[in-house]
Amino acid sequence: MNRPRTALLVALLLLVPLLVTLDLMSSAVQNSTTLSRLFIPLLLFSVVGLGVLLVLIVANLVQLVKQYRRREPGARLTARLVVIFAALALPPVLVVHHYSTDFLRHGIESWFDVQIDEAMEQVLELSRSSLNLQLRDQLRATERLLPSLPDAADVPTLAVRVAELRRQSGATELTLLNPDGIVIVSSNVNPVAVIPDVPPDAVLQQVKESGSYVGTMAYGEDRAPHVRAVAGDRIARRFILQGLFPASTHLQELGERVQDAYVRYRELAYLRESLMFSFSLTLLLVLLFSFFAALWTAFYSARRLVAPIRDIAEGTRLVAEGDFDTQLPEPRIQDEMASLVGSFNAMTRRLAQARAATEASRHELEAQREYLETVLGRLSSGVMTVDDQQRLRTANPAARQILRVDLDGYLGGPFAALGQASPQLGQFVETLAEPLRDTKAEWREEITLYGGEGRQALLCRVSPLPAVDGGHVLVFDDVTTLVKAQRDAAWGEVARRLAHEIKNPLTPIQLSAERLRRKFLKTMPGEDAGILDRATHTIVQQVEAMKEMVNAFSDYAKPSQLHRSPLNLDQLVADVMELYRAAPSAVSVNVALGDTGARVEVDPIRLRQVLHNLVKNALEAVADRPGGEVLVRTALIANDERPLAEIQVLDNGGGFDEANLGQIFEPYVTTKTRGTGLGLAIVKKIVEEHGGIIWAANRPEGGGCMTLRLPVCSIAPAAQSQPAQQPTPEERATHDRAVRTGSG
Amino acid sequence: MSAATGLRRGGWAGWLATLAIAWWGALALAAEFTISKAAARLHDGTYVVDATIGYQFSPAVLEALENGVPLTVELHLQVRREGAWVWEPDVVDSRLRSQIRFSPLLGTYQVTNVETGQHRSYASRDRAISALGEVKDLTVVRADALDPDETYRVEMRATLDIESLPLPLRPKAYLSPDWNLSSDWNRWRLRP
Repeated sequence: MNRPRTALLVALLLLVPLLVTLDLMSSAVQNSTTLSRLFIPLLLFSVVGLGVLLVLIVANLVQLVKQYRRREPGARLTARLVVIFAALALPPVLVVHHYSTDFLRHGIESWFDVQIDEAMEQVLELSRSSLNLQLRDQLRATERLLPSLPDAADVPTLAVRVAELRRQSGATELTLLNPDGIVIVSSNVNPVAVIPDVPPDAVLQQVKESGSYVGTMAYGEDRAPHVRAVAGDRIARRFILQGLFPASTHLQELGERVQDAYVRYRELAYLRESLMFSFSLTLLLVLLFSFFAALWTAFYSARRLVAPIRDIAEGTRLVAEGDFDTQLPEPRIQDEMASLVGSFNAMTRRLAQARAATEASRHELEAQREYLETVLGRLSSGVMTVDDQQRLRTANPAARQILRVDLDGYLGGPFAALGQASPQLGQFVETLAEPLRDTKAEWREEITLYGGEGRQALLCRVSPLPAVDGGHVLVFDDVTTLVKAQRDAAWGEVARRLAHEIKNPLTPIQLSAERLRRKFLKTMPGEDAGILDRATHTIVQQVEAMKEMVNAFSDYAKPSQLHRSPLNLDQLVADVMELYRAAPSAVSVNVALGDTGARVEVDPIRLRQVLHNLVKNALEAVADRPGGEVLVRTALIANDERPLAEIQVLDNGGGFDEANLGQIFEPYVTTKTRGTGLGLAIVKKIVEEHGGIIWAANRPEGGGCMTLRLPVCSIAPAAQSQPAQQPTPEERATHDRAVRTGSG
Repeated sequence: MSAATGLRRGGWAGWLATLAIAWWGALALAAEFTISKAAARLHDGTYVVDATIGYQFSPAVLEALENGVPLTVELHLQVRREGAWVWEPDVVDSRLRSQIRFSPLLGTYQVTNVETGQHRSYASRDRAISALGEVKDLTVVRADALDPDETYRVEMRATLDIESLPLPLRPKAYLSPDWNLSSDWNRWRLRP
């Protein structure tokens, strides 16, 4: 059962009995004998019922005040309705109370009047006088009988006389008593009545004191009204004669009626205030009942009226908060409110459906976006989008990696701002500015960026995005490694052709020159012989030089045949360096072995070649410097996968040219006047064939530093590795390139 | 709830409690009737009670009597076995009602036994009230109805019967100490 219905039931259970009680009270006040005895219980029940009603109303009021303060929906409307109901109910109640009380007072007062009072008194006095007259007559008659009695006579004589006197006087009973109140003789109209009615002691006492008594009494089985007249003898014999005379019934009845009316009147006059109080109390209770019932009805009606409005307000709040699943209970009565609630429910249903559809499409979009993001994230190509306002919108991880800049800080900002990150990116932005402004054409070009970290080749494509969003998508690939690999391959081909095309004619040239020398040197005159000697000598020497050069090319070009074996790196370095320490030189050659115990799986001949090459380069760098110093040191570098053995060759010479730092490992890049320009290229080739890396860097204190790292195959137990030092940017750049070269 | 509200509420409750106690105290103090010389005796195989009750009516009650309002007094008599359980019925539980009223015609006061209807008139009010208080040979219980091995407790109490008053007077009578007239319970033991 819902709450309003329960409230209604409770109210009816309270109000109906209360109404019945008040009705019964009203009847009781109107002198219904049966109900009159229930007046006080009815009064108590009414007061308690009204008290309960009052408590209910106060509770409702308190609740309403709380709701009003909390600004709950519907509280104001309820309060207004309650006030209106109270305002409508109170004036009539007050008016009815006022006029009813006034009417009652005047009505009751009008019953009692001075004249009526006097009339009632006089009527009573009249009755009393009339009765007294009768009584006095009977007393006098009795007194007159006394002298008729003989003074001294025996009882039978007295009995006869008393009987005679009774008959004469018309008394029902005549009794003669002695002064002590003892019956001497008695005569009764009824011969069977043998026991006479003896006057009570009080009567006898009064007779003794005043000589007579007269009063009324009920006598006989039928309790008929009689006059008791008792007279005392004034002479010596002191007889007491009592006569019981039948009273005048008519007079008696009249007297009693007058008395009853008088008593009733006096009682009413006395009770008028109490009567007024009772009437007023009943009236007050009835009016309070009406007022309380009106107030309660106000609360009940207001609640019923306001409930759907409150529901709608609450529902609207929930909808505003995003809860579209709100469905309001529909009122039972199909009125405008029910229609409003129905419309609200329909609205929330549609909103919920619309939200579900939006949510589904959002999920779909999200899924697509995630899919696209995953694909873009896995691409090796850098992808960036720029909107029509030239603002960077998106960039994938590959773009960050290729451009070596954290693009998150630039997202949403102007694309041109990216150029301030580094000179290299400046070139990138500058090159792309024009294609990105062009809204229609597709642009594709390979651009080369130069910077402190070397040359970087990017293959860029710019395509306009669909007109909805505008802007462009920029896709670029780092093709530096590819370009380098192509260049290396070209160099290899050149070397192979040189070996093939140049080396073959050299031997006949040399043999021919030697033959000319042998045949004509002895036969030629002195000066000519000298010329021939020098010329052939030069030819042979240059051919030798060319042979060396071609062999070097050949070495560089042909694939290596490695004969690997595990070697203690420190031991190997020590062996090689021993040769340099033994040789007398102005340059100080030092070795600092890290006692790494690292064993590397290498071709010892090739690695010795690498070491010789590096040390020789270092010696040449400090050859013409006083205090020149070359240091070779080894270390074990911890690595995530496997440790690396490191060899560093340091010198305190002039260092490397910063501009060529990234290209010193390429063929024919050399600062020396002599040499093939293939030394470091071959070194890098050998290192990479062993799975290692090599890079060059300038030392902060001056001089160059060549660092090569080789994977370790095993470590002697005593060895201790040191954590991998973070390479300097230059080192990292060269290293990256070395890795890329190796992988390409 | 603030402390002030609590005090206010406490104050109301205190006032109400004080008023209630004062009212009940006033009602209790209004015990104007006295029972003296109450005794039970065996007469002809029946226990009868003689008692003298002093009805000290308040001026308000006497005023009502003078104005024709009949007064009914109730003599409540109970006989109960000593040590009886709560649910055990009383051996005797009787109520004797007598009425006194003023007869303006003759200026007398009539005392009536409500049960029998017998009445007597008295010329003076004091005499009538005195006669009202004289209880003689009031039959209580037959001797054979009592267990000779038990002791019984006889209780007697006289009250002014408000319910017999005219209806308009009753609410006032219930609330006024002037009208709440009764004696204390007069108790004595009866051993058959």
